[in-house]
Amino acid sequence: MGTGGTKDTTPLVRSSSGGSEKAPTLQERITASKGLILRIAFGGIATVVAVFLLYLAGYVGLYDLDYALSLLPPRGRALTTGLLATLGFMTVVMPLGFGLGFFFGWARTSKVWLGRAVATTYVELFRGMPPIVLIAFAVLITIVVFRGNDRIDLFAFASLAGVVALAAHSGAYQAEIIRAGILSVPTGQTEAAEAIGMSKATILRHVTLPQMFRVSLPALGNEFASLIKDTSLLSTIGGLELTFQGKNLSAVLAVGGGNLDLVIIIWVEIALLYFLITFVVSRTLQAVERRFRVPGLEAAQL
Amino acid sequence: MGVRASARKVWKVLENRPLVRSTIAIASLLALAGLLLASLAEVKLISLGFMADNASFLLVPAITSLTATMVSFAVGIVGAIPMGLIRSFGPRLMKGGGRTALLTAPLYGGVTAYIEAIRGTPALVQIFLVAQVSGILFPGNPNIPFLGGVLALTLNTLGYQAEVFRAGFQSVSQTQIDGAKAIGMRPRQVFAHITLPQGTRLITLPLLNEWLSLFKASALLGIVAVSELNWAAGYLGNNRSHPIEAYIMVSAVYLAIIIPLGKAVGYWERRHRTPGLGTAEPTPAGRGVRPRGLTL
Amino acid sequence: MISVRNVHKWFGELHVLKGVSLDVKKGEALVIIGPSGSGKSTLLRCMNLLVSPDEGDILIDGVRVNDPKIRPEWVRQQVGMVFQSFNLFTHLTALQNVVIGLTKVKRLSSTEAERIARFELERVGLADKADAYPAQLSGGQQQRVAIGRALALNPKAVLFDEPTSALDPEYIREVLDVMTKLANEGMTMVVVTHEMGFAQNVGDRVLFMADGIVVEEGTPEEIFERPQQDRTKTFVGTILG
Repeated sequence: MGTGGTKDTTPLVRSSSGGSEKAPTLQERITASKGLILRIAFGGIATVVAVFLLYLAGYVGLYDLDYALSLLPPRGRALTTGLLATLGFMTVVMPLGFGLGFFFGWARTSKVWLGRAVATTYVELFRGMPPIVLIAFAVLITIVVFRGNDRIDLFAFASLAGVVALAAHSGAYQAEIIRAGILSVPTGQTEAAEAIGMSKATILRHVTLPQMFRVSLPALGNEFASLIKDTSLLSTIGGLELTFQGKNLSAVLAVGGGNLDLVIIIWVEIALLYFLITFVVSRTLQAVERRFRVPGLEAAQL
Repeated sequence: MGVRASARKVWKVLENRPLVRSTIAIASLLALAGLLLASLAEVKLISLGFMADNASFLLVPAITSLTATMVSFAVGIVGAIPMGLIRSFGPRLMKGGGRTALLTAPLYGGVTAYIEAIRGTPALVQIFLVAQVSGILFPGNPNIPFLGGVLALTLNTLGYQAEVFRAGFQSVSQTQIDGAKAIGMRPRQVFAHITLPQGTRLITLPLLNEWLSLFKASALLGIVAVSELNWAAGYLGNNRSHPIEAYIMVSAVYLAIIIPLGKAVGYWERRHRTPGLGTAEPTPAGRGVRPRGLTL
Repeated sequence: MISVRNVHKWFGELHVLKGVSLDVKKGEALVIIGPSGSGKSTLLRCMNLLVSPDEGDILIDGVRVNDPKIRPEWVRQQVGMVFQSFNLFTHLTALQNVVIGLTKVKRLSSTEAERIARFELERVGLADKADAYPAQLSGGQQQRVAIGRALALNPKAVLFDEPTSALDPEYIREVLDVMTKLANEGMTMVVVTHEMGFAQNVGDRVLFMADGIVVEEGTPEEIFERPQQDRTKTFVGTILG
């Protein structure tokens, strides 16, 4: 290499690295500044997961869930059960939908012809049907296939199929979001990464994904809010979540007796709980988005 | 080698003909689906005869689904335009102070609260509420399920469409308005000649997407005893004991309406895109993102 | 140091490089000029294997590098590149743009990487812009960061692909200054450019390309004042007015 500065200076710099530098490293500063919001986000997720596990533990009989709930007044009890179940469904459907969306979105940008064809078919089919029909269809197929098999819990299996169908519907939308996110990263970015010798995996991890997520985050947040509301559809297959509880309560307490006030009160309460969940989730995602915002990488908005 | 070369030649021909390419893709998918159905029928899992006999049964439910969607969508537009106007121009009017501000503030607050309430809660909850309330108010009226269902869908789409219009009106950039003012247009003219035409272009696609979402939401009406497509699937399945066939048929009807319409919307949008108006890429963040989230 | 031997490249039907051969000597600044579409950029991209040649060889210090056994990532660490449109990573600050190659490719500790990165930014005169994102920098500043990013990996040579073509006129000077300084320090450079002043003053050798072949090469004086080939005469005449 050249005899000039280039080669000489670099060792010069490195030799001084032994010196005691008190300033925090870049890595440390990134972790410090992003720590707070990450802690809030993870705290929220942890709470939901904990609530879900608590509910699950009671459901499988580790403690007396019914007794614990009976301490609440009757309507409060139904609403609490419903809220817990809705949160529980969220913890399953959201990651599942995202996983499907990510995989198929990535496959949509694949260089392999077959990968693109399969992913496109998935997207069009699962996006082109009302989720409620998808859920009913999935449950039906499961029942037909596994009917008469004593070794499995048919109801649990069918419910699971319904949950997967809902996740797949959302996954089809998320696949399009992920695809657009991947395509939004200019080729110059990957080329530059290649030019400094990064491997394919490093480029994906450190260049493509971080840029893609910043662009996709608002749309993903949108989709999550839609998905939370769509968990109400699981009431049609016996999921004991909020909408199911509302239907149950109004049927038992109000509709038969024609009690108009009570019907309205029950559904407004249910609506408020949904509103609370969607509000918290969308605000959290907005905060995350603000925290990770980078000038010049704003998401394309309508 | 020969096969590869000829494959490459075929690909070269297809490369710049997206329409031919999608036709081939759709044809082969349809053939694949037909093959699947035929083989399912062959092993006696489904009965093609049942499907042929009952296809006509789906006609009325399909019309019901479409009618419910069309009516609520149309009524929705009528209500959503003024709501969108209040949402986009309300803040400016309130800043002015005086009597205008006093009149605007409650309107703006009410509209905002309504939109947030609709968008923050599931359509199914709204449908149950409306269906049960109307059921109690008008007991025994046979038209009530359908009318209540349409009302619920209208109230629902109103909230989403109002936001579409707000976004459309707001995204007309200030520089355009300044330009219009600079050549001496009065506020009313600015609105009629600049804001409205530009806004209309910007809202067409989200509005058509909202129609598709609404059509999918109309499937929920089956739960409250409206005899639309989703209801028909359950009815055929339960009463004529061929549930799989019923769901295959109904799914096919939904797909046959939603996919071509979605494609047509996308195609139309690309053809009629005004360079420089709106975003550079057709529909940001992915075509066909569902317009029914919380943040538009 | 870098040798290109009879390299061909097709893009579909298009024959972009039609047997190009050249040698880049250690410590020299080789300037490639030529009309657009003559294959200059493709040639440059072949040298660090961003584009793999269909025929012919690329040798670095005598090692044939367009060999499936050699990892292209390794080659690209030896030969840095600066792009026409900068291609800074949009989601990273100027400092992070320089750091990332050091931590993720060279696997240095983040402390050490940051120290080197700060030094490189100082070298291109942007120490005070370390925490700015690319979108907050002018074109000239972005290109200087990109040069810093390439230099940080301590490459044996740097390829410049029309580094000033995307810049507003007022920013061209600062980028050329950095490049001139680099050449004076003895860095091996291959520069594709339309800046004839730079080619004349800084280039050790000038190479004229057209239609995918090397038409003529020589010292700046030979090419600009006594061109032998007709095509070179026409091109130089147009460019120098």
